[in-house]
Amino acid sequence: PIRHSSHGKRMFIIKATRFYDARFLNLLRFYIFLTGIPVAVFITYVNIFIGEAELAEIPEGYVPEYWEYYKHPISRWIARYLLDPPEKNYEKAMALLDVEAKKTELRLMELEARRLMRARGDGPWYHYETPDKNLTDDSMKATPDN
Amino acid sequence: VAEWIERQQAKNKFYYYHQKFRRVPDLSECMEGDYLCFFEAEAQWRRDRMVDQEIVAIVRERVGACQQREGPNQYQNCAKEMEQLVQVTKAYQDKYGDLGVHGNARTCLMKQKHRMMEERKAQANADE
Repeated sequence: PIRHSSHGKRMFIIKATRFYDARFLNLLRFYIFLTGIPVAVFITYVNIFIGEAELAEIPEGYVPEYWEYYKHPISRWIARYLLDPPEKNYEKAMALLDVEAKKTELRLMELEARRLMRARGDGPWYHYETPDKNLTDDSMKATPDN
Repeated sequence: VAEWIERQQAKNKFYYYHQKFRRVPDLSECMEGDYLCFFEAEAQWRRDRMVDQEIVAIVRERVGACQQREGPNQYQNCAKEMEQLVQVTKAYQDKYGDLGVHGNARTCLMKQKHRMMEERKAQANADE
Protein backbone atom coordinates (compact mmCIF):
# COMPACT_ATOMS: atom_id res chain seq x y z
CA PRO A 1 0.00 0.00 0.00
CA ILE A 2 2.66 2.47 0.87
CA ARG A 3 4.88 1.40 -1.99
CA HIS A 4 2.40 1.45 -4.84
CA SER A 5 0.23 4.38 -3.97
CA SER A 6 1.59 7.85 -4.16
CA HIS A 7 -0.59 9.44 -1.58
CA GLY A 8 -2.66 8.69 1.43
CA LYS A 9 -1.76 7.01 4.62
CA ARG A 10 -2.96 3.58 5.67
CA MET A 11 -6.43 3.61 7.02
CA PHE A 12 -7.99 1.09 9.30
CA ILE A 13 -11.50 1.20 7.85
CA ILE A 14 -14.12 0.40 10.42
CA LYS A 15 -17.09 -1.39 8.85
CA ALA A 16 -19.90 -3.53 10.15
CA THR A 17 -18.99 -7.18 10.23
CA ARG A 18 -19.63 -9.24 7.16
CA PHE A 19 -18.52 -12.49 8.77
CA TYR A 20 -21.98 -13.80 9.59
CA ASP A 21 -23.41 -12.82 6.21
CA ALA A 22 -20.63 -14.53 4.31
CA ARG A 23 -20.93 -17.63 6.48
CA PHE A 24 -24.70 -17.78 5.96
CA LEU A 25 -24.42 -17.44 2.19
CA ASN A 26 -21.71 -20.05 2.02
CA LEU A 27 -23.73 -22.51 4.06
CA LEU A 28 -26.83 -21.76 1.95
CA ARG A 29 -24.99 -22.46 -1.28
CA PHE A 30 -23.45 -25.59 0.16
CA TYR A 31 -26.73 -27.14 1.29
CA ILE A 32 -28.59 -26.18 -1.85
CA PHE A 33 -25.96 -27.65 -4.14
CA LEU A 34 -25.56 -30.75 -1.99
CA THR A 35 -28.83 -32.17 -3.38
CA GLY A 36 -29.33 -29.70 -6.21
CA ILE A 37 -26.40 -30.85 -8.32
CA PRO A 38 -27.22 -34.58 -8.23
CA VAL A 39 -30.86 -33.75 -9.09
CA ALA A 40 -29.80 -31.52 -11.98
CA VAL A 41 -27.36 -34.16 -13.27
CA PHE A 42 -30.04 -36.85 -13.06
CA ILE A 43 -32.59 -34.72 -14.91
CA THR A 44 -30.15 -33.86 -17.71
CA TYR A 45 -29.26 -37.55 -18.00
CA VAL A 46 -32.92 -38.48 -18.33
CA ASN A 47 -33.60 -35.72 -20.84
CA ILE A 48 -30.63 -36.57 -23.03
CA PHE A 49 -30.46 -40.33 -22.92
CA ILE A 50 -34.04 -41.42 -22.39
CA GLY A 51 -35.87 -38.61 -24.12
CA GLU A 52 -39.48 -37.61 -24.11
CA ALA A 53 -42.29 -39.65 -25.60
CA GLU A 54 -43.70 -39.02 -29.02
CA LEU A 55 -47.33 -38.28 -29.72
CA ALA A 56 -48.97 -41.08 -31.66
CA GLU A 57 -52.46 -42.21 -32.55
CA ILE A 58 -53.84 -44.97 -30.40
CA PRO A 59 -53.36 -48.20 -32.37
CA GLU A 60 -56.40 -50.26 -33.22
CA GLY A 61 -57.55 -52.62 -30.51
CA TYR A 62 -54.92 -51.42 -28.04
CA VAL A 63 -55.85 -49.91 -24.68
CA PRO A 64 -52.95 -47.81 -23.37
CA GLU A 65 -51.98 -48.09 -19.73
CA TYR A 66 -52.86 -45.12 -17.60
CA TRP A 67 -49.21 -44.03 -17.37
CA GLU A 68 -48.79 -43.94 -21.13
CA TYR A 69 -50.68 -40.68 -21.33
CA TYR A 70 -47.76 -38.55 -20.08
CA LYS A 71 -44.90 -37.11 -22.11
CA HIS A 72 -41.89 -36.70 -19.83
CA PRO A 73 -40.29 -40.01 -18.71
CA ILE A 74 -40.07 -38.91 -15.07
CA SER A 75 -43.80 -38.06 -14.93
CA ARG A 76 -44.50 -41.39 -16.57
CA TRP A 77 -42.44 -43.15 -13.90
CA ILE A 78 -44.18 -41.25 -11.11
CA ALA A 79 -47.62 -42.02 -12.57
CA ARG A 80 -46.69 -45.65 -12.93
CA TYR A 81 -45.08 -46.46 -9.59
CA LEU A 82 -46.10 -43.79 -7.12
CA LEU A 83 -49.61 -42.68 -8.00
CA ASP A 84 -52.86 -44.61 -8.28
CA PRO A 85 -54.55 -44.91 -11.67
CA PRO A 86 -57.12 -42.12 -12.14
CA GLU A 87 -59.77 -44.75 -12.77
CA LYS A 88 -59.22 -46.00 -9.22
CA ASN A 89 -59.69 -42.51 -7.78
CA TYR A 90 -62.83 -42.08 -9.87
CA GLU A 91 -64.25 -45.36 -8.67
CA LYS A 92 -63.38 -44.54 -5.06
CA ALA A 93 -65.22 -41.22 -5.34
CA MET A 94 -68.21 -42.95 -6.91
CA ALA A 95 -68.25 -45.53 -4.10
CA LEU A 96 -68.25 -42.80 -1.44
CA LEU A 97 -71.05 -40.97 -3.24
CA ASP A 98 -73.03 -44.19 -3.50
CA VAL A 99 -72.74 -44.90 0.24
CA GLU A 100 -73.71 -41.35 1.14
CA ALA A 101 -76.65 -41.38 -1.30
CA LYS A 102 -77.96 -44.61 0.23
CA LYS A 103 -77.55 -43.12 3.70
CA THR A 104 -79.57 -40.02 2.80
CA GLU A 105 -82.25 -42.17 1.24
CA LEU A 106 -82.54 -44.36 4.34
CA ARG A 107 -82.63 -41.34 6.62
CA LEU A 108 -85.41 -39.74 4.61
CA MET A 109 -87.38 -42.99 4.70
CA GLU A 110 -86.93 -43.26 8.46
CA LEU A 111 -88.24 -39.73 8.96
CA GLU A 112 -91.24 -40.48 6.73
CA ALA A 113 -91.98 -43.72 8.63
CA ARG A 114 -91.76 -41.91 11.95
CA ARG A 115 -94.12 -39.21 10.78
CA LEU A 116 -96.67 -41.70 9.48
CA MET A 117 -96.50 -43.94 12.56
CA ARG A 118 -97.00 -40.99 14.84
CA ALA A 119 -99.90 -39.71 12.75
CA ARG A 120 -101.71 -43.00 12.13
CA GLY A 121 -100.74 -44.80 15.30
CA ASP A 122 -100.90 -48.25 13.73
CA GLY A 123 -97.18 -49.07 13.82
CA PRO A 124 -94.74 -50.51 16.37
CA TRP A 125 -93.35 -47.06 17.28
CA TYR A 126 -94.91 -44.43 19.52
CA HIS A 127 -96.47 -46.75 22.10
CA TYR A 128 -96.85 -44.96 25.42
CA GLU A 129 -97.50 -46.65 28.75
CA THR A 130 -100.96 -45.82 30.11
CA PRO A 131 -102.30 -46.81 33.57
CA ASP A 132 -104.19 -50.12 33.84
CA LYS A 133 -107.88 -50.12 32.85
CA ASN A 134 -108.87 -51.99 36.03
CA LEU A 135 -107.52 -49.26 38.29
CA THR A 136 -110.24 -46.78 37.28
CA ASP A 137 -113.04 -46.29 39.80
CA ASP A 138 -116.44 -45.82 38.05
CA SER A 139 -118.56 -45.62 41.18
CA MET A 140 -120.66 -42.50 41.92
CA LYS A 141 -118.62 -39.74 43.56
CA ALA A 142 -119.65 -37.30 46.32
CA THR A 143 -118.79 -34.10 44.39
CA PRO A 144 -119.13 -33.81 40.56
CA ASP A 145 -115.62 -32.51 39.90
CA ASN A 146 -113.55 -35.51 41.05
CA VAL B 1 -24.59 -32.48 -31.08
CA ALA B 2 -28.32 -32.55 -31.80
CA GLU B 3 -27.92 -35.65 -33.94
CA TRP B 4 -25.94 -37.40 -31.21
CA ILE B 5 -28.73 -36.69 -28.75
CA GLU B 6 -31.31 -37.94 -31.26
CA ARG B 7 -29.33 -41.14 -31.79
CA GLN B 8 -29.20 -41.72 -28.02
CA GLN B 9 -32.93 -41.12 -27.75
CA ALA B 10 -33.83 -43.30 -30.70
CA LYS B 11 -32.60 -46.45 -28.97
CA ASN B 12 -35.72 -46.89 -26.85
CA LYS B 13 -38.67 -45.08 -28.27
CA PHE B 14 -41.97 -44.87 -26.49
CA TYR B 15 -45.18 -43.03 -27.14
CA TYR B 16 -47.81 -41.10 -25.38
CA TYR B 17 -51.41 -40.78 -26.46
CA HIS B 18 -54.35 -38.50 -26.02
CA GLN B 19 -56.78 -40.07 -23.62
CA LYS B 20 -60.16 -40.77 -25.16
CA PHE B 21 -63.04 -40.70 -22.71
CA ARG B 22 -66.34 -42.42 -23.33
CA ARG B 23 -69.40 -40.21 -23.48
CA VAL B 24 -71.64 -40.64 -20.45
CA PRO B 25 -75.26 -39.45 -20.04
CA ASP B 26 -75.45 -35.70 -19.72
CA LEU B 27 -76.76 -33.78 -16.72
CA SER B 28 -80.07 -33.27 -18.52
CA GLU B 29 -80.43 -37.04 -18.94
CA CYS B 30 -79.84 -37.90 -15.28
CA MET B 31 -82.63 -38.89 -12.93
CA GLU B 32 -83.06 -36.58 -9.97
CA GLY B 33 -81.23 -37.83 -6.89
CA ASP B 34 -78.91 -40.07 -8.93
CA TYR B 35 -75.70 -38.66 -7.48
CA LEU B 36 -73.46 -41.07 -9.36
CA CYS B 37 -74.88 -39.87 -12.68
CA PHE B 38 -74.39 -36.27 -11.48
CA PHE B 39 -70.73 -37.00 -10.69
CA GLU B 40 -70.03 -38.51 -14.10
CA ALA B 41 -71.88 -35.74 -15.96
CA GLU B 42 -69.95 -33.14 -13.91
CA ALA B 43 -66.61 -34.76 -14.83
CA GLN B 44 -67.60 -34.85 -18.49
CA TRP B 45 -68.67 -31.19 -18.38
CA ARG B 46 -65.35 -30.18 -16.88
CA ARG B 47 -63.43 -32.07 -19.55
CA ASP B 48 -65.52 -30.39 -22.24
CA ARG B 49 -64.88 -26.98 -20.70
CA MET B 50 -61.12 -27.61 -20.71
CA VAL B 51 -61.33 -28.64 -24.37
CA ASP B 52 -63.22 -25.44 -25.17
CA GLN B 53 -60.62 -23.36 -23.32
CA GLU B 54 -57.89 -24.99 -25.39
CA ILE B 55 -59.84 -24.28 -28.57
CA VAL B 56 -60.10 -20.59 -27.68
CA ALA B 57 -56.38 -20.51 -26.88
CA ILE B 58 -55.51 -22.08 -30.23
CA VAL B 59 -57.66 -19.62 -32.17
CA ARG B 60 -56.10 -16.74 -30.25
CA GLU B 61 -52.63 -18.07 -31.01
CA ARG B 62 -53.54 -18.24 -34.69
CA VAL B 63 -54.57 -14.57 -34.66
CA GLY B 64 -51.32 -13.65 -32.92
CA ALA B 65 -49.26 -15.63 -35.44
CA CYS B 66 -51.15 -14.02 -38.29
CA GLN B 67 -50.49 -10.55 -36.89
CA GLN B 68 -46.81 -11.35 -36.50
CA ARG B 69 -46.59 -12.73 -40.05
CA GLU B 70 -48.44 -9.99 -41.87
CA GLY B 71 -47.01 -7.04 -40.04
CA PRO B 72 -48.40 -3.75 -41.32
CA ASN B 73 -51.17 -5.19 -43.53
CA GLN B 74 -52.62 -7.41 -40.82
CA TYR B 75 -56.04 -5.80 -40.67
CA GLN B 76 -56.69 -6.77 -44.29
CA ASN B 77 -55.10 -10.19 -44.59
CA CYS B 78 -56.14 -11.64 -41.25
CA ALA B 79 -59.85 -10.92 -41.40
CA LYS B 80 -60.75 -14.63 -41.39
CA GLU B 81 -58.77 -15.41 -38.24
CA MET B 82 -60.14 -12.35 -36.48
CA GLU B 83 -63.70 -13.29 -37.45
CA GLN B 84 -63.09 -16.80 -36.16
CA LEU B 85 -61.75 -15.44 -32.86
CA VAL B 86 -64.77 -13.18 -32.44
CA GLN B 87 -67.17 -16.08 -33.07
CA VAL B 88 -65.34 -18.50 -30.80
CA THR B 89 -65.04 -16.08 -27.90
CA LYS B 90 -68.69 -15.09 -28.24
CA ALA B 91 -69.72 -18.74 -28.15
CA TYR B 92 -67.50 -19.42 -25.14
CA GLN B 93 -68.84 -16.38 -23.32
CA ASP B 94 -72.42 -17.46 -24.04
CA LYS B 95 -71.87 -20.96 -22.80
CA TYR B 96 -69.41 -20.70 -19.89
CA GLY B 97 -69.24 -16.96 -19.48
CA ASP B 98 -70.39 -15.53 -16.15
CA LEU B 99 -70.68 -18.75 -14.22
CA GLY B 100 -67.84 -17.67 -11.92
CA VAL B 101 -65.36 -19.77 -9.96
CA HIS B 102 -67.99 -22.13 -8.54
CA GLY B 103 -69.56 -22.83 -11.90
CA ASN B 104 -70.47 -26.47 -12.35
CA ALA B 105 -72.51 -28.43 -14.84
CA ARG B 106 -75.74 -27.57 -13.08
CA THR B 107 -75.23 -23.77 -13.22
CA CYS B 108 -74.26 -24.07 -16.88
CA LEU B 109 -77.44 -26.01 -17.57
CA MET B 110 -79.48 -23.34 -15.79
CA LYS B 111 -77.76 -20.67 -17.87
CA GLN B 112 -78.64 -22.60 -21.03
CA LYS B 113 -82.25 -22.84 -19.82
CA HIS B 114 -82.41 -19.08 -19.29
CA ARG B 115 -80.90 -18.48 -22.71
CA MET B 116 -83.50 -20.68 -24.34
CA MET B 117 -86.28 -18.95 -22.42
CA GLU B 118 -85.09 -15.54 -23.55
CA GLU B 119 -84.75 -16.73 -27.10
CA ARG B 120 -88.32 -17.98 -27.00
CA LYS B 121 -89.51 -14.72 -25.52
CA ALA B 122 -87.66 -12.69 -28.16
CA GLN B 123 -89.17 -14.83 -30.87
CA ALA B 124 -92.65 -14.41 -29.38
CA ASN B 125 -92.10 -10.66 -29.29
CA ALA B 126 -90.89 -10.64 -32.85
CA ASP B 127 -93.91 -12.62 -34.02
CA GLU B 128 -96.40 -10.12 -32.59
